Order: sequence, then C-alpha cells, then structure tokens
Amino acid sequence: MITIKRKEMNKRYKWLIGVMVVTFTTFSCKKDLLDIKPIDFVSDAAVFQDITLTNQFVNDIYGSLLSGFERRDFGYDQDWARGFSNLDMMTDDIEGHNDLPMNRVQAGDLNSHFSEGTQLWAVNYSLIRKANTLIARVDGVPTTNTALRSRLKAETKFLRAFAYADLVKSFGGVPLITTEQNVNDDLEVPRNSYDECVAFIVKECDEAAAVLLPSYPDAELGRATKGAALALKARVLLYHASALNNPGNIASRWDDAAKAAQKVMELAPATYDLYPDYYQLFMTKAGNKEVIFAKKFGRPNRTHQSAWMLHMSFTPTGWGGWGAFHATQNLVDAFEMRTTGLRPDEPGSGYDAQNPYANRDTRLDKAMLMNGSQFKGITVETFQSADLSVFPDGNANSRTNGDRTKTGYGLRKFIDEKNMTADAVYQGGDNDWIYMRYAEVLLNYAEAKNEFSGPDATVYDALDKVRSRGGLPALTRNFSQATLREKIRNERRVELCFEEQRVYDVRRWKTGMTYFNGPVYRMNVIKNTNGSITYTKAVLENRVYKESYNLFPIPQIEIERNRKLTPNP
Amino acid sequence: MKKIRLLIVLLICSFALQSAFAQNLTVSGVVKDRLGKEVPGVSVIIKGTTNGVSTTTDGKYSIIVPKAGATLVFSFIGMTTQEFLITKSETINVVLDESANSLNDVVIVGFGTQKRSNVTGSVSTVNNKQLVQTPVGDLSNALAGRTPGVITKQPSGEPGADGTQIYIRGNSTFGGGSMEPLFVIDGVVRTGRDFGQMDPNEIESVSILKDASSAAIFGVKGANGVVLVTTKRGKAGQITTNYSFNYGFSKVTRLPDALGSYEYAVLFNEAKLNDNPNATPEYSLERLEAFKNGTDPDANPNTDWMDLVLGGTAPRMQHNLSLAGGSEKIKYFTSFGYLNEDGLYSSLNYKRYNVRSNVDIQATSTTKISIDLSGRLENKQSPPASIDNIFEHTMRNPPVQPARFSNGLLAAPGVYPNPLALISEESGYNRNSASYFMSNFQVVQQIPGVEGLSIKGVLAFDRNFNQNKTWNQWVPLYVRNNDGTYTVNSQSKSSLSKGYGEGQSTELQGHINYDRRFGKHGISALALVLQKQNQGTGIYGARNSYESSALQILNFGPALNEVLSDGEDKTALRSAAVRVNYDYDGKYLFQASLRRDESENFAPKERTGYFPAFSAGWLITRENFMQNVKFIDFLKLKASYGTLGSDRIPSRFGYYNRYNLVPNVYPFGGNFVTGLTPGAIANENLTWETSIKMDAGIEAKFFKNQLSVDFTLFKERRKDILATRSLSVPLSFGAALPAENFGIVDNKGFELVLNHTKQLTNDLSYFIGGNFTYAKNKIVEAAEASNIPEYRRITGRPNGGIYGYKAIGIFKDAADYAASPKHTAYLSSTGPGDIKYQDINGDGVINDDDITYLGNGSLPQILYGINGGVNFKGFELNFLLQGAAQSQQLLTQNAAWAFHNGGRVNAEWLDRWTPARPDAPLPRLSLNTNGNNYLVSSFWVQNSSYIRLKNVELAYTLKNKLLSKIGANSLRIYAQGQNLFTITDLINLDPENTNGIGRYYPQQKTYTFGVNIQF
Repeated sequence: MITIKRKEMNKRYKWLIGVMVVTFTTFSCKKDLLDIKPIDFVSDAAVFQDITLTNQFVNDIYGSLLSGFERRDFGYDQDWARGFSNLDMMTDDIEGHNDLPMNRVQAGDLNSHFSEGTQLWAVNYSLIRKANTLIARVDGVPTTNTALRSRLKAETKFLRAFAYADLVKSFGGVPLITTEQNVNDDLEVPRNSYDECVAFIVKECDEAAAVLLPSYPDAELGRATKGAALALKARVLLYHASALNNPGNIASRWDDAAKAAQKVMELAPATYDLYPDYYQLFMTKAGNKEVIFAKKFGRPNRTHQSAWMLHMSFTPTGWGGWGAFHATQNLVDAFEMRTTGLRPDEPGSGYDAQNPYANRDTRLDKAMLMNGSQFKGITVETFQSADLSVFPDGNANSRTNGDRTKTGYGLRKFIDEKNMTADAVYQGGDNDWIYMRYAEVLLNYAEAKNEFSGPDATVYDALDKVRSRGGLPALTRNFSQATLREKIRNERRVELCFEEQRVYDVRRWKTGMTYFNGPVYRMNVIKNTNGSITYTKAVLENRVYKESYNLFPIPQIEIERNRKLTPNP
Repeated sequence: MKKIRLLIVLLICSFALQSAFAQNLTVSGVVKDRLGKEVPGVSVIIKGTTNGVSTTTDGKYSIIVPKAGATLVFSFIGMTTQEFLITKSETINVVLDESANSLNDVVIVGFGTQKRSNVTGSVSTVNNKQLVQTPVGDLSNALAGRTPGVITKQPSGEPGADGTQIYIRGNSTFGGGSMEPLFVIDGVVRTGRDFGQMDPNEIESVSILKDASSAAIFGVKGANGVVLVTTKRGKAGQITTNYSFNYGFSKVTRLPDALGSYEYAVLFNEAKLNDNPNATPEYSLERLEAFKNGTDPDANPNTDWMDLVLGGTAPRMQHNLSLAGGSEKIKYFTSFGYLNEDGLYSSLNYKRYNVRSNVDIQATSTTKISIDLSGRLENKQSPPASIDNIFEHTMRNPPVQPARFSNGLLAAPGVYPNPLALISEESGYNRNSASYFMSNFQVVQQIPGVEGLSIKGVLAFDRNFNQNKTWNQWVPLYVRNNDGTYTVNSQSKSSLSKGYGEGQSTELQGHINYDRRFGKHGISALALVLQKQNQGTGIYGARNSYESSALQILNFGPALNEVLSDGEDKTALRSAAVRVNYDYDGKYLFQASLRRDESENFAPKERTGYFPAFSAGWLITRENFMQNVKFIDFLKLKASYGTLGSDRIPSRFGYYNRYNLVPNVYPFGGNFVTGLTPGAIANENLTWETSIKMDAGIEAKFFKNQLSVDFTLFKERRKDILATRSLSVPLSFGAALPAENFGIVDNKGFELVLNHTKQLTNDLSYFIGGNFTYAKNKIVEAAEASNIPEYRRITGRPNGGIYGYKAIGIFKDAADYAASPKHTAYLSSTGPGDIKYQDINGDGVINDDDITYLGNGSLPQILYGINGGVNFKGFELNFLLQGAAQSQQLLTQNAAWAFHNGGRVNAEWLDRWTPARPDAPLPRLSLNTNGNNYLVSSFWVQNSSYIRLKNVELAYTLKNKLLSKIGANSLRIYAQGQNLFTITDLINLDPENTNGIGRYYPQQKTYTFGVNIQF
C-alpha cells in the first residue's frame, strides 16, 4: 500500500518539479524582458542620417505654420476654439460672436492674457526651434542629392524668417533665438531690438532667395519659393519704414521697401499675376499665379473649422454655421461705387442709401453676405420684420446673441460653398490661407513708392491693376501724395479685408485712435408691412483703443517665465 | 539560476523527507456556535500548512494529522479562531464564539493573510454581505461609504460606464499621473475594470491597503493604495447551490428644474431689454399668452427636454447561480452571473456575463493546486452620439423649441440638434463587445521536515478582445412652415467605424513562505519573485459618406475620406520582495518588508527601485497590567513608515529622444506628405513617483466588544511627481518639455471608525457604526515661475484647486456701481445688477490680475459613512448614509447660467436682480453669457457637500423547515434602495458629478427587489 502511494507521489513530484523548473527557467533566462523598444517613433539620431527623414522633418515645419484659420480665441491651448476668431476682429472691420473673448479686446481690454497673442508667440517659437534644429544639422545629412539638401535648408531659413516676421510685427523686437536651446541653458533670453530683428529677417530672406526655386511643379505646390522670400522681405521693409517703427521717417527705408517689392514685381507676369475672380482666388489652388505663399489645407486630413465657425447661420439650411464673424458697416462703407470710383460718403459718389448694395465694387459681394445675397441657391435675408406678430425664422436681426448676424453682414470670402453641407465630414474648409499674394505686393509697392517719392505712373499702375478687378474705373492721375496715401490705405482695407492685414496696417500707420477708438456700425434692415425694405445705419457699439495697443502685449505667462523680457508699454 | 537550483534541491529534499516522518493521528468532532447550533463550512487546518478540511453541514469534521505536536486551527469568517495542540488521536468538539467585531478573524493582506489583531498596517475590509447589499453595475460603487480612507466620486450613471473614481486617502499627484489604486484579485494584479465588472457574488472579501507597510509589498505599484479582492472558494462537504436574483429600476437622482416656455419667454424679453433698452421684445404678448395657455403646442411648444430624454425609468436585472462544495481532495466554487441594465433611453443597454470556476486540488498531503478560471463578456449598445453631445443639447435646448410635433414628426429645434434624434435608434448604433479571459494557476508545496515552510508558484495568463462598430445615420427632422406644411432637414450621409483590439498578459510568481511559532516568538516570512508582461494591439478603420445603409461594412463606403490606424504596445515588470513579521507573545508586533522593482518604462539605469517599509504594533491588552481593566477588551497601538512608488505616469518612453510620425502632415499640391515631429525632449533620469507614507493608529474595543474605536493619523509626501516645467520654462524654448521628477505634494489627515453592536435578546440585535476620513493635500513644489503673485500661486495650495475672481456680491444700484472697482473689459456693458468682484491686488480696477484661489475643487476633503441595522428574528433592516464635505463644484454654462448659447433657464433665475429687487441672489439677466457675470468666479463656485442615503435594505430570511419541502435551505427576500435621498446645497446637479457643465449621464436612484435561495 505504502509503496504504491510512494510511486504515485513520485510521479506527481516529477511532474511538479518539471513544471516548476520550466517556469523558473523561463523567468530568469528571459533577459530581454525589459528591453522593449517603441514601435511608433524614430530616434533623434536616425532623422539626420537620412535625407528622406530629414525631408519629413521639414514637412512638419510647414505643418506648424500658424494661419488665420487657426486662431484660438479661448486660450492658446484650447484646441476646440481653433478657427473661431480672426485677428481683424480687433479692427473696425469685424464684430465677433458675443461669446468670443475677442469682444474684450474690442471693448478696450487688450492685456497680456490676450490668447491670440500667446498662441502667436508659442506657435512661432515652436516653429523656430524646429527650424533651428534643421539648420544646425542639415549640412551633415549624408546624401548625393545635395541640391535637395541645400534647398531644404533654404526653405527652412525662409520659414524661420517668416515666423520671426510674424512675431516682430505683433510684438516689436523679440528674443532672436537661432540655435537649438538645451533645457539646461539660460532660457531667459532678453529681447533684441526691432532693428536687429529686421536685419536678421532681411539677411535670411536674401540667403533663402539665392537658393530657392522660383516655382515648383504642381505636386510640390506650397513650398517656399524665391518669390516668397523676396515678398516677405518687401513686407518687412515696408513695416520697417512705417510710422510706428520709423519715427524719424528715414526716407531711405521707404526706398528700400519699394525696391524690394519691385524685385517681386519683376517676376510677373511669368510667375505672378492677379487671379481674375476675387472669390475664386481664395479657393483655387493649382494655376493660381496670385498666391506667393500660403498655408495649405486639404481634405480629409488637414481642414480648418473656419468654414462653419465663421460662417453665419441662416435658415433654411442644414449646414449650421456658428456665426462668429460679422462684417461691420464701417468696412462696407469703404467699398467704392463702381461708376464713380468714390466711397459712398464722398460727394457725388452716386450712393443710394435705400439701395445700398447696388453698383458697388464687385468685391463687396464676393467678400461678404448681406440682405439679398445669393448663397448656394438661397437668398440671404437679414431683415427684421416691422410687424412684430410675424417672426419668420430667417430673420437674422432678431437674433441678438447668436449665430446669425449682429451687423447685417456675414462672411463669404474664404467660405467655400461646396463645404457647406449637412454632412459633418465636409464641414471643414480645405481652402488655403494665403499669407502673401501678388495684390499685396502691388499695394506694398504703391505705398512705399508714394511715401518715398510721391505719386508717379508706377504707383497709379500698381493701384489700378488691383482696383480693376473690383470693376472700378482707373484713377484720375492727379492726386496729391496725401490724398493718394488715403486712397492706397482704403484700397488695402478693401482688397485685403479679413486677411489680417488691417490689424497690423492701422497699427504701423499709428492711426488706431482714428479707426479703432470709436463707434462701429451695423445696418438695420427692416421689412415694412408693404414689403419694402428700409435700410438704416446704426451704432452697434463703441470701441476703445489706446495708443499703447500698437504692439500686442508680451504674453503674461511668458513674462512670468522670462524675467529678462521687458513688457510692452 | 541560483534560486532555481535551490528550489529544486528543496523540492527533492521535501520529497525524501515526506515519508520518513509520516505517522498519522485522526482527530474528529463537531463544531457548534454559542447557541449550540452546528456550524458548517468551518475550516480546520493543520497550522503552518494548507492541509485541512471543512466541517460538513452538520458541523462534523474528521482530519488526519501527520504527527503529534501539530496544531489544528478552527476558523470561520465572523467567528473567533481557535487552536488546539494535537498529541494523540482524539475527539475535539469545538464551540466557536461569534466575533461580532471580526477583530480576531483573518485579514487578507498582500500575498497572504494575517490575524486581524496582528495587523500593524492600515487595512480595511468590506465583506461579501456589504457588497451584495449595494446592487450596482460597477462594484467600485459598492465601496463608497463602507470604509474609511476611501474617497469616492461617481462621475456618471451610464450603464457599463458608471464606475466610481477611488482615491485612497486623497489626491497626491498632479501632472497627469494616475491616482487609481492597484487592484489585486487573488494575488494577481488586474485592472480597475476587472474589479468593477466582477459579479459581487463571486467575492469573499475586499481588503483595502492604505498605509506603507500593508501596501509596500506592491512596491512601485502601491503608492496609490491597493484594493485586494479574494474570491470565494469551495469547502469540503455537501454541495451548496446559491441562486440570487434581483430586479430593479433606476431614475435620475436629480435633474435641474428648468423653466417652462411662459416663464422662459418672460425672462427672455427682460434679458433682451437689459442688453438693449431700445430693443423690441422677442415674445409678443399674444405669444406669451399662448405659452401660458398652451394653445397650439406645435407653434408654441413647452418642451421639457430633460424629462423627455431622462425622465423615464431604467430597468435592471441581475441573476447569479453558484455552486460550491467538494471533498477533502477537491473543492470547487463555480459561479455564473448575468447583468442586464437598460439606459434611461431605449437605445442604451448594457449586458454582462460573468463566469468563474475556482478549483482547489489537494494533490498530496503537502501539495495544493488551485486553478481559477474566470471570464466575462460585456456587450454594450448605445446611440452613436456621444454622451457629451446628447447631454449638451438636452441641457441647452430652450422650452420654446419643439421636440416632436403633434403628428409625431421629430422637430428640428432651432439651431441645435434634437436630443430625441440623437438618442433614437434611427440614428444608428455604437456596439461594443469585450471579452475577458483570466486564469490563475497556483501550486503550494509544504516543505516537509521544515515546519511552516512552503513554496508557491503562480502563473496567471489573461487574454482580452474587444470590438466596436459605430454606424451613424441621418434622422429626418422637420420644420413647421407658417402655412402648416413641414420641411425636412437636408439629408446627411452615413458613416461607419470599426475598431478591434486585443491584449494579453502573463504573470509569473514564485513565493517562499515560512510561518512558525517558537514558544512566545512568532515568525512569518515571505520571499517572492514576480514578473509580468502585457501586450496589446488594436486596429481601427472608418469610412464615411455612405450613400446607402444597405450594407453596413467598411468596403461598401467610399475610400475618399477613410481613416486607418493601428497601435501596439508592450509593458513589463520584474520584481522581488521579502517580508518578515515577528511577534513576541502576540504582544509586540513588528513587520518589515522590502520590494525591488524593475520597470521597463524607464531608462536602464533608472529602472530599478527599492521600496522598504516598517511597522510595529503593541497589543496593550495582552499586558498583565491590563488584565484588571475590565471595560477594555482590546487595545492596540500601531505605526508604520515606508516608501512606495507609482509608475503610472502619463508618458511612455520618456527617456528616448524621439521624433513622432505625423501622417498627412501637410498637403503640398494636394498631396499629403508624412511628417516627423520632435517629441518631448528626452529625460534619461525619468523615474517613478515616490511616496513616503507614515501612519499611526489606535484600535480599541470596550464593554464586551460592544463598542470599538479605530483611529489613524496619516501623512504622505508624494515626491518625484512627474510633470513638465511648463509653468517656469519660457514658451520661446519652443519644444515640448521633458517630464521631470520634481513635483512634491503633501497629504495628511486622519480616519476614525466607531462601531457599536448589541445583542439585546436572542432574537433582537442591532448595530450602528460610522467612519470618517479627513484628507487634505498641499502642493509643495510645482516648479512654478518665480514671479507669479502669491494670490495666484498653486504652490502651497490644494492640488486641483479652483482659480478665478472673488465675487463680493451684486452691484445693488447706481451708487454702489459707481463706488466699486469694475472689470476693465466690461466697462461699457456692466451696471447695477451685475456681479461685483474683489480688487485682489488693490490697483483700483478688476482685470485678469485679480484672479485668485477660490477653493480646493470637487474632490472632497471630508468623507464619511454611517451605517446601521437591526436584526429581529428573520428580519433585517440595514442602511448606509454617506456624505462628503469641503468640496466645491464650479457650475458653468447651461448647468447654471441663463440663456447660455441661446439655451434654457433654470428655475432659480426667477429670483434675479431687478431694480425693484436689489438684494436678489442672482444677477440681472442677459442674453450674453460672455459678459462680466460669467467669468470664472466664486459666484459660480458652489459648496458640493452632501449627505445621501446611499443604501437601505429590508430583508427577511425564511426558516429552514418551511423550505425543506422544496429542498432549499434558506430563502432571503429583500428590497433595497440606492441613493434614495440627498441633502446638498449644490443646485441643479448631483453633488458627486465632476462635470460643472452638467454634460454627463446622471447618477441613478435605484429600487431593487431580490431573492436569494440556498439549496
């Protein structure tokens, strides 16, 4: 009995020991247990050993460009608020949605917590760091395609200069960081002067322009070109010559700016020209010779939400619209009469206050929606009924807080009709944000040249070329320098409306107290009981501006982190 | 390899020694309780072994004892354990005392058990009876209020997603690290969801390890505390079959009281005039009359959106069948559970199937093998719209918008979606199915010849699969035209996504246990090695713009906008630990432990960590001088100190300098190209968070155990908290910052438990008890920029605090307005009736620089539970009150504000400021919720303290003889209520919610009826 038992147990133990031995051997012999390698990223060293990976790194720098379709109004880290505002909401051209913090700026509270400013600072410095990394290391990347390698470096130099130009026009002089900082370095870098920054940007643009191609095949459209580098330089020099940055009005600066713009104009018409249709200009990608540099978007992966966040909501539609954007009557009044070429408020303009949209610069209808506009086969109605017992939906002025218009106007420019559908998947816009286009270069030239040497034929030519697209007659060539200055400034306002130019233009002209410190107007549209419509211009609100707002405040969180930063006044 | 050789030698020795010492004695007898009733299922074990039997249904046992001098241990949950020294074959009849306060019973601790009186750490337990008393879908909810030190917050009541967030003794980390405790089921680490989704009937007990000494054996995983779950096991004897069934229905605990159309419209007109005195009223007098009288509801609706979407009741049902039994050689426990919970709307349903089979095989007299297999299947169906989306519009839509016309057509309510469409079955579905298989194989081998020495091997292998399919389609919504016709909204195309994921984990453990007494010296020791590997992978695909819903498969959709992605990850851990317990005469107790962990998430040189802990206890009542103090039955002092870790940090591979792939980063010429973006800068010194915990406590029982007190002081310093220096590194640095171990949070508080129980007569007894926890934390180091003003700093303040303006009332009138500092941004839009803020920095104006600390946030600093009950003959009445204090909720948007985003108005706004009522509690109305009154301010920070009747149960247990006819032993019927009432100052929302916007699936009030039959 006992022997049998022992035998059985013997077997069991052998089995058990076997299991345990196997188990414990697996245990300690598996030395690589903890050596787990990530599968979804590349190491730092690998990137700059391979021109393809280096190229992909440059692709990412393009992806980091900050465009006007990506402004975050509710804090720079609030991704959901991306595309909800536009810097021109700080101007007398646009009223924002009631919920937007941008309204606080309009009310005169531009402080260091301004989120668009913080975003602008953060995003551009993030791009600059990537560019610094690339520029420092790209020369060591082994490749036989040295042309590609030097082109990538030149593209990156341009992108870095572009980011600095964005910072400088917003904040004035900023810390010029041109090497990849280590986290243990002294990160509290003081501001460089405005002039140092401009000199740096100009030098970088020149270096980039020497290498960059004038154009790319369609498949590569969007890469930085020679013309982009030259146009950036021209714009920066124009700012450098302007009153805000040129208190002594050094004339040679205007000359430099005009000459730099002329360099770009020399590339026309082979490379650059105006696009015939002002609405399609912002939708057309291939074959659009007006575009000098743009942030590219594309369906389905890179779309912007502006299409419905900025778009006004009107019924009956199924495509929504958050209505964060309402053009003001002030801007509408800047669009001239097609026959006379005069602003409505000028004597003899031929303006009919009760038929206010007739015979206007054609760009008005292509830039915004108003009572009677046709959009996707719908007639937009912004009127309020005089008869209070009838409250048809579609009556935009009856909505005081919402997604419909507060001013009588909505946005059409940038809004691609085909993206407005009930299908959520199509609701993101995929049109590009154009940073620099040929029309701006012409206007830059006209302004600089007029300031430097007064009206001449080249100035009128440049101006007429832009104006003619709006159906406006050619200018009589008898303006004084000062009158022409106002004409050029008005033309910039109209032609470049909502493109985040005016927000900076008025600042560099130091005319903010004239334009931004006073009432903005809306159009009251009343449908009378007999069916006729009465238009009345009315004050929407009073805006507050201070001379000190000519530069954006340095972001508060940056001042708290970098004690060497001098805040703007 | 050395270890293995040693083990083999030990095993071989043990085999050789086994037969040499065999000399069998037989001991048998009957076990009864104080009342003379036989007790079945008492475990009779030879001390220091796992060798033993259980008493049969008539309380009898018989056991073979290998040699004289062995000790037999009689133990039963809820009874005092007794020990007998065996010198010869004999009959021993045992009478077990009920240990009402369970002080002498056995407590499950990490990788072992301990006599409760000998525990020097801080361990609370919740038993099966308490768990099943709270009929909840997610077990984590059953812990609320039951024990001290467990801070709970249930953020959602959604079936299948209603788990409670558990913070053991509070929140000690920031920067993205998790505070979730470690969940250990039968000695193997599993996920919080694995615990939450267990069937409560499978569980014997839950222990919560709170201090350093009890949790230190879990090392780098233990800093957040440990929830130890022990499942039921079979006992030798007759088969017991248990069937339980309950049925219940749930309602929302509370819904905001939204105004109806008439009042809404009146207030709307007032608000519009406040904003612009020249405006024409939105609603004409005729329309107001129509709202009031309910004429033509299609044109003048009065829609109660909350009621339409959430006003219903949701049934739930639970079945469990378990079988337990076995012989001395083989014991088993098997259980099958089923849960079916409906949502408040019909498109939401959650079903869960649980199975478990625990088998114990006494392979030889010294070898025990356990095979535990368990699995569960979770099937959830919900509408394709997210909870956030559904509740956003349920919370927002104003009553004047129609939901459904009288002809049955769903309405398009203005600019926002109709939540009835979002929850409708027509809108599609979101189907989730997840299956989990978990196994746990254990072999325990006594080493013969070395009394008290045993080795144990554990293999746990888990596998899980989950899949999701979401189909989203258009629901026709109608607009009623003035001529009485209806226009349908434009049709949108359908979309489909499918995801599939799987995971597996393997854990191996080897233990050496030693447990022996030498006279007055008791020693037990444990050494263990452990390694664990997890891996997971998943794939996801989506297409949209389906022209038809005929085929709801991916290949049927256009490829144009498709999304494809996949992911893979692996983790690993290798650990070793030792623990030694020593006691002298059961009077002086000591414990020391050390764990070494290697975690692959850190660079090789930072991978290894050591986590020591010590504790000591003094059982004063065992001292001679205490023997005369009659009223004190038990008195123990204890203290512990130790270091724990937490590797549950937000980022993986933080020590690599990395470039992440960005698919489709930029569309050059319409062609998407791939990008490489620099990830966070590497930090090779990255390591785990370290928690240093200190604990001191006193446990006492008085007056024949009728009153017990347990008081513990605790203090924790969590350091090396992983966060980025984002508060101090300038943005001009430009890179994503490396995570660094720099944060420090101090957390301290105390726990108090008081229990009183009394047997009044044989038939009547009652108990009442309470537990109270206070935990307060403070950020000591957060790498904050040096020049942030004191009133805005987070350093020195509670973790997760609320910051905003300090509201100091409402501008009563023009004089008050003129005399007070005003917010610079709203100078032109403010006036009497608006909220007045404190000028914190004293510069005469209010602006962003006046933002300051307002409160510690939604995690309460005080938590308590009061439970009690009466037993009379077969009747039981139990209740649990649970409460929290020192917590605040910041209410925003439609949860608090009037007309936010064109939305509804809650009833409290009837009491708003008007010139005639300058002292009203709420400011004047406005249609614009972006103004002065809606800044983040203390005005909207509300006290979210509460006390609620978490649970009440009335039960009756039928006597045996009545049931014998149907072959049952006992029958228990009960009725339970969960969250029946709540007292709180917080308006509109459930005080436990964590979402101040109110976009969450609300907590539920549940009524349940059930029956429990034992055969």
